[in-house]
Amino acid sequence: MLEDTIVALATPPGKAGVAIVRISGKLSHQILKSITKCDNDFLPRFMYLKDIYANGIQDNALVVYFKGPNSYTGEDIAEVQCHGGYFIAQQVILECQKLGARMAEAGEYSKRAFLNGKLSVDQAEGIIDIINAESEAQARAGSVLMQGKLFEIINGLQTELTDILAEIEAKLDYPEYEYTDNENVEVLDRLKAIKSQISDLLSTKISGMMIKNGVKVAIVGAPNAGKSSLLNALTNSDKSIVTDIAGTTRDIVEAEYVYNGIVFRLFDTAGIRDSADIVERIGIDRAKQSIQDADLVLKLIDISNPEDIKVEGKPTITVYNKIDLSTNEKQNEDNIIYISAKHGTNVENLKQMIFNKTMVQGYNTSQFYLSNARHIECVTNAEMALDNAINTFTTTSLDFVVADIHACWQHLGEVSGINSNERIIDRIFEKFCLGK
Amino acid sequence: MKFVDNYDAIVIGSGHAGCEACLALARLNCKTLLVTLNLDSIGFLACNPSIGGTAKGQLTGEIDALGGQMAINADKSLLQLRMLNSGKGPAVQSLRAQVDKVVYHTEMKRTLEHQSNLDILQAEVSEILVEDNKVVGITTLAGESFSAKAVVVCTGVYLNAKVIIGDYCKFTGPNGFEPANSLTESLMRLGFKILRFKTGTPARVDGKSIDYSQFEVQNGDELGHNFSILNKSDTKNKQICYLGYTSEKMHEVIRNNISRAPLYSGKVKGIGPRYCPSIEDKVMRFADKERHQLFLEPESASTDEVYVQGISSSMPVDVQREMYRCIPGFENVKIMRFAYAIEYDCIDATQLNPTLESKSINGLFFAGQINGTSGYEEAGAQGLIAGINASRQIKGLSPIVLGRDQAYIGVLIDDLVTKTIVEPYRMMTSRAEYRLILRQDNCDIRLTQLGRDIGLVDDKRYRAYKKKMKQIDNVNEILNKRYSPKEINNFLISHNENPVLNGVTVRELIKRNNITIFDVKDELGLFDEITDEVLKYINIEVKYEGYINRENETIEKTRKVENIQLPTDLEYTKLNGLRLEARQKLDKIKPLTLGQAKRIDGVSPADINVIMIYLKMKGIL
Repeated sequence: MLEDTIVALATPPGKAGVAIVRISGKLSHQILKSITKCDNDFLPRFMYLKDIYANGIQDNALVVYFKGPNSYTGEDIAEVQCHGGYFIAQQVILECQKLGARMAEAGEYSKRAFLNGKLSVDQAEGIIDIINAESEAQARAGSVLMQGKLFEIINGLQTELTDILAEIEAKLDYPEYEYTDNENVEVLDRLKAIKSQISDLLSTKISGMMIKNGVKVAIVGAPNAGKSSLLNALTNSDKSIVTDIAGTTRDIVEAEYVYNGIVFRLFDTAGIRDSADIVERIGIDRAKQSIQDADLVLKLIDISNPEDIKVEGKPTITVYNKIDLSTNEKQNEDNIIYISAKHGTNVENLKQMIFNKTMVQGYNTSQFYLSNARHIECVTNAEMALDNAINTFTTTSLDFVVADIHACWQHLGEVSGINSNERIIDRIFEKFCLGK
Repeated sequence: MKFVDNYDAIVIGSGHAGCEACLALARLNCKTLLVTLNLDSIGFLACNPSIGGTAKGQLTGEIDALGGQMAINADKSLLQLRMLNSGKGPAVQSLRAQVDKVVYHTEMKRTLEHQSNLDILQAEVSEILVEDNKVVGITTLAGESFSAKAVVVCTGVYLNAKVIIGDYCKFTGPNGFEPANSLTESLMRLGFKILRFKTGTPARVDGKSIDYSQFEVQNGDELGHNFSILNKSDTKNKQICYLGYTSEKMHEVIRNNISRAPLYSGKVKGIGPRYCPSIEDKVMRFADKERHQLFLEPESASTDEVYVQGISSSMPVDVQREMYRCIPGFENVKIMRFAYAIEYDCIDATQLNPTLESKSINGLFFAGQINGTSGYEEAGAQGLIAGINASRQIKGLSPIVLGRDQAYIGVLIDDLVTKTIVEPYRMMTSRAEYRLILRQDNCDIRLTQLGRDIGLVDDKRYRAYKKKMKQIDNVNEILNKRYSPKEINNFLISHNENPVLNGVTVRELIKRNNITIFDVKDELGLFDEITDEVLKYINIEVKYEGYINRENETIEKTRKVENIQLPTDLEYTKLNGLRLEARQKLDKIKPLTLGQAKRIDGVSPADINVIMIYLKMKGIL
């Protein structure tokens, strides 16, 4: 149990200048070398400034290595002090997991320290308190999840899997009984449906590409709709970092801002309309391309002079500008927001909306996204197990296929906390009429 | 106290647990006394005339592999044998035997009578004698006392047994056998918590009154299997079973009379098993089902009585007559014995260690239905383990506890002593987390060496086992044989498999979807003199290697924690770090290992961490 390598965020989660990822166990040194792409051993207890490469992102970080037993836990420890904000640290943790570490349990560093004789018996009581406090905090966090979207989704998936498992298990344990309406084909279809739900869930995780390249947001709108002011409002600067790219004034300009640790890149496009002007047509073509590449489109409309523009096939927020010129009170809706770029009204809300829209693909109607590294690990494993089950469904006997379905159920159970086998057995008896 | 005689061990009860327990004890050279209410009830199949079934076939195979009697006795009384689930994969294939109820009893009785070190006595035990928390013997209702160093209690459904048929009820054991009305009190005086469970059995009808043309014939397998590895002869199907259905008319009779059903009128207080619902339960709970299956099974070659599986009931006799006649083919049926429900006392098995010995009284063991299980095989498995551990305690040897990764027996006993059982416990393959490894085809490979070390596996069985293992070694060598593309591509193509460029081993051939080890044997001329049984085993091991390895890895990962021993005197109530619920549960169960502690419901991973830290503090870990 104590032979594996654990990883966790050592600093409190949330906005901060620096985030520390701590790795403890046999693989620590190796993982550190791998993340920094260094072939040479690190000298213990020396601080290094290194480029780190984690899960598709690159950052500059302070790293340090402690060789056991001269460390807090008594094992080899590596620490990576990366730039703050949740996401970079998450990527580092994900990378560590890829390299063989697992997420630490509550109080596990202290526990290891104690078990390795780094803390005295007197301190043991304190550690138990820590474990309890942390597990209580976890339980509290768990109970938030319990009421939340993630639990709802996972629980739904598990319930459906429980049904399928109960059907298969009933068949396996009671072969002499006749079964209706549970043909294998149907079961396979249901598994595929669950698989696609799990994939949808996974698609809500923050992708490495987005963090590396930023989120692309295209702004479309008539020339007078106020795109420049919106750019300035979002980038919070009068002297906008809007850069004219050589070519034509109708070309695309780009600006950036950072929100919740994520870089958002704005593309200001020419208004899209039919035009005979060759130069304008080139601009329009580029605008279309830029919409094609975008993760999100902001459709900017002057509320005092509305001119609708069609955008298809992309997540879109309709932004009504110049509400300062309008007398009507307008309520923001799911995909519609009313702002005044000039006065900064609702701009923060817009930023939040942009963040939610782009970071939570697949679950557009909610504010939910899969962000916790442990959850991502579990759901990814669940997806892999279910993939196996689906791929082997027609070629392998049911008892082996069902092993993968069970594995999927168990992995999901690590997120929801529901992992008692009895549930499936209960379901068998609820659903089927069996026995002598 | 004056003892009539002195024994090493006494077994109370001669059902399937009692038979295995006393045989194991006597075979392990303990001077043993079997006391039973009625010698005519030795090895009595009180419910269905069959041994095995899903998961239960594995249990029987494991009993056999360890040197027990159940499988041998099933073979001796065989009427029909089938491999269930043969189309659904090796992990859930199980043997199920129809057996002759009369022969099963007489053969088991004969085996017991011929067993050296074993005395048999018909008497009712009224008291278990205990001094200083150590068992010292028993007293019978007739007033005789016998001394013993260990006592194994296998009373089945006989403690304060009460049979219920509609409004009629009577304190009696199954089939009119006397109940045991004194022993519960003795157990309560010794501090045991008593539960009351319920089970039921369907009617037995006169085969001559059945119109079999309205039923579907169910034959046994053509290929000869045997339950015991010791028996090699081809089995013959001596009897036919039949499949039939209930009718809507029958359901209507049940619905019209439901107020007279004891289960619904509140007459039955005991907790019944969900997996053995009575027909009235099925009709009420699954109202949308137009018909339910039933099976006709012959009770014995020496009687016309037929067991009607699928419609156990405790309806009044007049309702039973009416409803049975509504079954197509039963228009003129003559009921010979009515269906009934039976209530009985059993103990809360969390009062036992995984050795099946009482936590509070030294030398007192429990096995079978008294521990809250249901089924002959579950009982036999416990009887065997209780007998083994009683003998080892007498001799001062360390107890035998099978792991959940080793045998269904391990799963069974671990569940019984760890989880709170609220209804009679039936084994199912879905209870085993490692069922890909716990298969019917490898029972002997898993357990016979252990049985030999224990001392129950005789030379004959051990020679058969060694021979099989030698063959497996030979086959494993042949699996590495390599074929060049030239040699093998025609074979591959003829089996709709892609040809190879660089040659292929026999192992890789067998892994292909469309090729089995038997194709390799027949067409490539390999595996001469290797038995089909071994080839079948290897075929499974090779084809499913990936799955099996993965399961083995999981076992390996959990083993370390699993095997950390916990001191039985650990005072959980004083471990402040534990949550209250965990403290209470741990204090009640007193798990022997950290693995067992983890499986107790209400014990969290944080609680386990706390225990580990205390162990470390005390220098145990």
